[in-house]
Amino acid sequence: MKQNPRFLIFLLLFAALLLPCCSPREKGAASDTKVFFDTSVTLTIYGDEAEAALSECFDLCRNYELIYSADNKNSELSKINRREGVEVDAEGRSVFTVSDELAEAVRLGLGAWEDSAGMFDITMRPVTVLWDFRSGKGSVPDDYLLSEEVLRVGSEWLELSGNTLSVNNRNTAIDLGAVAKGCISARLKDYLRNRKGIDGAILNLGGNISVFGTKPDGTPWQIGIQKPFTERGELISTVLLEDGCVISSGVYERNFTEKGIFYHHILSPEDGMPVHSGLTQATVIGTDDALADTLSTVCMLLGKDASEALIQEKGYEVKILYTLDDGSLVLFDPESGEESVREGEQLDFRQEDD
Amino acid sequence: MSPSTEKKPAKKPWFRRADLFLLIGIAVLSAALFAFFFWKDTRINSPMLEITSGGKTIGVYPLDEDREIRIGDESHYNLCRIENGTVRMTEADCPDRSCVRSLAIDRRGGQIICLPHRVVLRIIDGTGGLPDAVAE
Repeated sequence: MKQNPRFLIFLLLFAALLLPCCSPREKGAASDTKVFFDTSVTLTIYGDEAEAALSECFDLCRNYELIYSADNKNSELSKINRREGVEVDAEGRSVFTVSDELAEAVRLGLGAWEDSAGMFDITMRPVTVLWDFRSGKGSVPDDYLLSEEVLRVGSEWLELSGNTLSVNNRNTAIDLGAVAKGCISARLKDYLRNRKGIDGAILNLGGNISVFGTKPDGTPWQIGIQKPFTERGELISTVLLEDGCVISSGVYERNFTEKGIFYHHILSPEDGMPVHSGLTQATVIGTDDALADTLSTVCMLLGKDASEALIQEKGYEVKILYTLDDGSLVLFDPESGEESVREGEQLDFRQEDD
Repeated sequence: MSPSTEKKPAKKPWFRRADLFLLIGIAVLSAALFAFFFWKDTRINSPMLEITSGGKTIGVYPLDEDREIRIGDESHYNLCRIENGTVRMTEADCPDRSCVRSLAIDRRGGQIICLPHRVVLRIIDGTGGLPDAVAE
């Protein structure tokens, strides 16, 4: 105890000065981009266990690809399209027991088919394969070939009861491209919501945005909406959101021009040709990712007035931002009706009572 | 009962010249350490461009040095250019060329994706000020 108290004082001083050097770096955020189901998936997760949760989510994506992807030949869906491991009876019928995930997506697809009076159809695969938009090139199919493949389209050939899927036509092939991303982001979000150590996340599945929880800095999620036919990243509007999804569909996504004619990937099941409904883009803001994903395509297929009527009739709790052919913006809220929106305007969809 | 003898030898001064030197020494050392960590921190945290191809990181580059980076092999390629702190995909032989038609990204954040070639240009540790994501 003969120690001089000065020594202690200096030691403390020294330690205090060192403190800022070893203050913990910002923890609890993880973000990465990977390619799945022919689209890029960017996940940004906040929370103490963000890093672990991020890799778990990518593992889940890998599994989902092996369920939903029509282009992955090992997927559950591809096996159904090849009728692998089942008997096809004399009438061309086959019966499958499908996973919960696949059953959910088919159920949604059939629901949207009924909603849209047959315009939204998950059995369009033979036609979409001909157009080949997914390769990024695309070409106008031969008239005869197209008319042949259109005959194979029809959700009336599908019957789903629980996990039993009957495909009642030997020529039917399913593509869940307009349904699966929504189902997957809903499932990822559920997983993260129920996982410990997660405060919030923003999921971007090929341009489908879904958020929940909070950011470390407490600011609301801010989601831009791509301006059609401009450089990627140029925005037509931005949305503030607490919990929910922003899902756009548009003719600017996958398209090409051949001999001066513009062709895009939103195709009619009637003739297999691109649909011109007066819209270049429809953005659905909602809370049910899977419903919002199918609805964005349904809106593009039906056009503004018919899709508004459908949403009213069904009581879907969504808001739609339409970009019309002339570039003007209309926001539709089933509760308050239409409202025009200026380009660049910020739309605040945060709940007021929070 | 002992009579308390408070008589002590002449007390040494509490603070001596040598202590002053020690104090200054500690202060200088602390300042140096602080400066070093601060510098290291800002170096780590300053926005960088990360390039991945097929899920593998092929490089991380500072934004303040102009350069051109070729990504790919004999079968396909993308050309990325860092210029005046902004990053663009200037060329690519991919079918959709949507990467080339993407807005430049800078220190604020963001990414440019070439889906056909599975190439991602991404700003890490961006300063923010952009939307959290873009619906498309």
